[in-house]
Amino acid sequence: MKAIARQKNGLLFDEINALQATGRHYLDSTAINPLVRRWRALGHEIDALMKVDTCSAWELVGAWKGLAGDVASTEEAFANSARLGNSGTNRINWMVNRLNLGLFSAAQALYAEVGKAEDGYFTEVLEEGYCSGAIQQAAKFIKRAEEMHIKGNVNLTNEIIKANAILQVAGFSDARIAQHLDVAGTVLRRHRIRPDGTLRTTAALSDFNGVTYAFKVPVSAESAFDMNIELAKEEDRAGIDKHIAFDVVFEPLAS
Amino acid sequence: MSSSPLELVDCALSLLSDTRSEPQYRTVCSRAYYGAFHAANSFHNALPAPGTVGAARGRHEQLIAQLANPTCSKRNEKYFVSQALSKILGTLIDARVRADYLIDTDIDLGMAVRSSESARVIMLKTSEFAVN
Repeated sequence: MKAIARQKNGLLFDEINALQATGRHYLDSTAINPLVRRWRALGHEIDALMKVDTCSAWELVGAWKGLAGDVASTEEAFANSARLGNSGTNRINWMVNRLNLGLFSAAQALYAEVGKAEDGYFTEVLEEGYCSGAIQQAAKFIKRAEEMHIKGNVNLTNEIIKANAILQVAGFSDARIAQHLDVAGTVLRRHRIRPDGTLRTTAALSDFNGVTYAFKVPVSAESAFDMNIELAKEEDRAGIDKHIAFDVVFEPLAS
Repeated sequence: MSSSPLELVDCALSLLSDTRSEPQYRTVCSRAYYGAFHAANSFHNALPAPGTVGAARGRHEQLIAQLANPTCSKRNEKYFVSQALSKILGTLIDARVRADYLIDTDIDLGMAVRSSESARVIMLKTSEFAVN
């Protein structure tokens, strides 16, 4: 059987993704266990790549630090990579890692750069843009993509258009959504839970019209309720104005 | 004859233990929501002052808005409990709308479990804070 040739950095990203898939919490890099040993070994391999392809190596460092929930080091590494040029994926992976770290405003800023229909990544990053809460921005990109005869995921496109219609009527901007989501990101980081969110648009005139951003949390329903109280307190401290058109909620994983 | 919110939630939990088909998952989502709605409504009615309706329309949307915008003091622990109830009721009404109106969309066991669990916790918390 013929071996398939692959770039080293592709294999390292596979290992990062495999490590991420092992759990919903950030890795505790100070712990001693098989997962952290794998994470440390990966760090050595990324380090070895620095002399060969520095731009990609910094990108990998960013994603690697992101696994441990290290916001400052992840941001620094991706900024280093971006300063060295465009690896083809470094800004997209930066956006993905900002989402993984609960930095939604910052993720939206990158989505505005990488999600354009003209740039060739429109389809690949539409879901990430949607997950960053950049609904209005995504709807604009969809409109432009349609003009260019680019077709994306029909269900996702319809969801975005539906959500955008409700939020526009309510005068709810992407920036306001991001501010709300950033607060949830703060609470999730406190619990060391990697954000895993989905937007749900409810459009039933007689009952409820609104968009809900639900983050799955790996805790019991009782603990999820307590996390929602914590979120409400944090929103209050951040001066979030409550509006029926949009809210954020923590939801327990289905048992 | 009458039914209490607890009986509606118990009904959802009881149905859940024996659900095998999508119409049954839909019924669980529906009963769970209404049990939670009535429990949350009683909680809201017992607050020192009603919450703000804002732009919300209809009985269901208005309750969710009022719970999100309580007018009692923030020193009253029920203030933030009310906001947490609003958040969870929002997820339950979404499931209920999908279950009852959007019959061409999928409703799975996971959604039925989430709805009944959320409704159970709403019952638990509204009872707990009703006596405090």
